[in-house]
Amino acid sequence: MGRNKTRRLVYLTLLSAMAITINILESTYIPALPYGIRFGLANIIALITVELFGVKEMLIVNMMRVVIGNLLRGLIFGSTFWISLSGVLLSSLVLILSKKLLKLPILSMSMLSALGHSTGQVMMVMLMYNQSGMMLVIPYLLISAIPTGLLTGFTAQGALRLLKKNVRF
Amino acid sequence: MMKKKDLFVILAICALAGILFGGMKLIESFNTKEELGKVIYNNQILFTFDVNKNETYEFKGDYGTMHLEVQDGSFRVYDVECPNQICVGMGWLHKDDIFASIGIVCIPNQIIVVYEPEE
Repeated sequence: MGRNKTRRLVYLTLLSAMAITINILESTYIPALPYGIRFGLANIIALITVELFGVKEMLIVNMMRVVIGNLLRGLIFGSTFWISLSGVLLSSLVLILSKKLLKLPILSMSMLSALGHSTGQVMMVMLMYNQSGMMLVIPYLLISAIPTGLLTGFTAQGALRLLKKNVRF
Repeated sequence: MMKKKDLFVILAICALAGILFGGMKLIESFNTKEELGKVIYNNQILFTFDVNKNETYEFKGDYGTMHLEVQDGSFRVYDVECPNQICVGMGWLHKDDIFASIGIVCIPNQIIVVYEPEE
């Protein structure tokens, strides 16, 4: 029992570290497309975690990613921190619902959580800056969630296939 | 490995985006109110004009007749009976232009053509 707990802790830490690294690398080296469209590559790790461990662990990894990622970039408790926090919370909620309630396959989960992420961010921006005009961006973000969600979904699918074959969890 | 459910989800997202887009366009089309510019003569409003409607107007001031032309949200005066022609020299003013709320002023005619956006 104790050994399993340690094993789980180590894997969660590794996954969190990977998510943080991907998050920082993406925000540093890949500029955002028009309308603030981004790939959200760190979502790959969230998908892998939810498939390998479960919902609670995914929540931990996602929260670690936002809090520590922003801490490392020196943006913690700034406006961008709250925006990304609300995005991650909504994305996690959507992921939990689509996993537990709808039992969707991984590609759908990926697309829906990408959608939740951008919608959460837009909602937070609307709340913080009183900009109800940001609503106009939502349709474009919904459409863009399809290709970016497919990209992260396929990546997570491939990674999961290899991980499940070669690593004992 | 795409499954059938994935296709359904893609279609659902597309449909949702389409509905939202259509709804926003619909709301926008209801919300386009008339944007009225004013022609002021001796501190009184002579008439108002819609800056989004392409039309020309003719009116009289103290000195003589003036013509106002509105096109694609911009307006200008032309063919003015006045030796100075300063108001004609102002050229086209777009409704989003800061000068549109200051307006075209003709002193000899006592005329101001102005568009003030509502706050």
